[in-house]
Amino acid sequence: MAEKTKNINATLDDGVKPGDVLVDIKGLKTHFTVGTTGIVFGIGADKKTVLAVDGVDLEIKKGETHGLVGESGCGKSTLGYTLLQLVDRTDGTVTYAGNDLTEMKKEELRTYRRNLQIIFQDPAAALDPRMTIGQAIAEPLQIHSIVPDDEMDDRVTDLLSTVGLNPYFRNRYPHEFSGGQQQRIVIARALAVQPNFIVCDEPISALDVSIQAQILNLLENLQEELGLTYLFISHDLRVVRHISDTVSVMYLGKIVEQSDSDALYDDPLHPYTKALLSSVPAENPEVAKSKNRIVLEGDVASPIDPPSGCRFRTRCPIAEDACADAIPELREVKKDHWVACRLA
Amino acid sequence: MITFFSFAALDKGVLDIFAKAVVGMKSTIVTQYEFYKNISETHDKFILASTAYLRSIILLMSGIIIGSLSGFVLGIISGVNSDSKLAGFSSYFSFIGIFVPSFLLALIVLILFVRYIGPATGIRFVLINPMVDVFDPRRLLAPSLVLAVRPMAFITQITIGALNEVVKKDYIRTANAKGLKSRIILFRHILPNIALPSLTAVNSSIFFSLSSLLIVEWLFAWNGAGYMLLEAVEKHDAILTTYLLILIGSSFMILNYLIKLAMLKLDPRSIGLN
Repeated sequence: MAEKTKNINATLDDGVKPGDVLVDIKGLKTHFTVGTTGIVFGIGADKKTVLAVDGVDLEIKKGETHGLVGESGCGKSTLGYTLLQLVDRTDGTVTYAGNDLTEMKKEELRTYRRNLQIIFQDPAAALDPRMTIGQAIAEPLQIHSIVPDDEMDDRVTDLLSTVGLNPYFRNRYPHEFSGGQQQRIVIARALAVQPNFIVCDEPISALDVSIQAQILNLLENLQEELGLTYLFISHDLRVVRHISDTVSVMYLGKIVEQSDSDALYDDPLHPYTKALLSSVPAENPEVAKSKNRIVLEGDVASPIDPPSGCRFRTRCPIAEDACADAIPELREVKKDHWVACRLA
Repeated sequence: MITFFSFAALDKGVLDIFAKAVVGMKSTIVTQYEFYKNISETHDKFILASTAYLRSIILLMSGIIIGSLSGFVLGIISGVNSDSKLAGFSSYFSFIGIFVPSFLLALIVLILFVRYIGPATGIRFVLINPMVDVFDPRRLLAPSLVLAVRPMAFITQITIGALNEVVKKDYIRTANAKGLKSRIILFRHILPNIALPSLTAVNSSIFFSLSSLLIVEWLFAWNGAGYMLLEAVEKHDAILTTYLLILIGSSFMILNYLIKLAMLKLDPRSIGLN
């Protein structure tokens, strides 16, 4: 049984060796137009552009987990959606295993989507309430004709047991499951198409702490077994440290710091990263008392009208006048440790 | 309006007359002759009421079906392409369609058909004398259009609203990420999820149309239950009034019940665990 499961759940071969770059994002920009279109003939129209993702460069190596952290509304999820071409990009390229996804034709992209899947934050919203979970898991198998119809049942059974659910539940509807179980179903559905790369968009934020650990372990075990690559989007810094090999910190549509997980947590260089890490509550109350917390002033600037120069300068404790002049680019301060701050 | 007519009927001692009509019982002694005369009279009136009622149902149903189908299709098309010209048009149209009173709309349509469309095509869409009892489907067109406007506008708005909510859901995003064709996403994931609010809109539309049925039938000389009800009240015919009211009332209760049953079937959450 174990052998069969492994065989069935093998991922597609994309010709990329572990450790080589699998996903390469260059200069990616995603801008949205918001506002009202006016009452009649555009009278009273008020349109603005939200710079949700504004020039992101990112490389994700095969087999690793790349953590993406940042505050709410900084563009983490939009980056994930744009990566998967679920949202149209404004500029830039996304290359997956040497293929440019942004240049692909619609039909070509549709079949290519097998390689990349996504897991959402709220599993209840990610499952169609009118489909049994068996149907939900079988659907991607049918559209990509992965298994013949007579083997469909076995395949769904295998997938459900892979994520630790009893296959007996297959004819039930999503609302009959708990949040953790629903998230397992979502993971099983994502695995059905044998993807290599999964965007995990805050996959555990909506779950209880005890369930969070289960889902994290499940994701880690699957990665080990199937050689998956994750982009793990989260605002929970401790979880990201636990699961990620490399981490990017995002602020207002831009990546401000990028490094190995340990290097970033032990030696943060960007003032925003320092502030973020100091906000993580300490387990030990004695440590918590002596901890030097950096409390940021003010709110996140608006992505509709971001500040000139460094976007973080309005809240930065060490900002100087010169920070308003030029937008700081990511530069390699230490080996594999990139920071977008002229003072770091 | 219905309540008003039922009070008018009750005022004539309708219960007394109704009891007499059905079982031939009255507090005073009834002769055999009177008894059978009553029975046959009520029997005739029942036939009269039911034919009028059937004609009303045909009119009402054609109005509802035209309205619901066009409203649903318009809502889906403009909800899917929310930036298109059609979407803008249907949102303005439905906005107007909801607040325009049906008697005003009926007058406009009546004038249009009698003065312009009728002479132009050479077809008499509206008959002057309702007692010329020829069932001509062409006569259905004008009144059912009037009855269709409000359901259409209402269902369009509800469908657009429901659609906008559903397309934002993560399972639609997942369906895209899985590589599903957009047509399959529409039929398999979007439509089943907007069926419930749209069906609720159909249910309320039936009651909208019922309230304007009387005036529409009267204006277009459609010899249906509404028209006959007005006449029966005018002639103090309590038996006929009662029959008509019972027929209309009970059929709407049954219809309402059937739609509620359909809603239960549509929502897996209401079925419960098994």
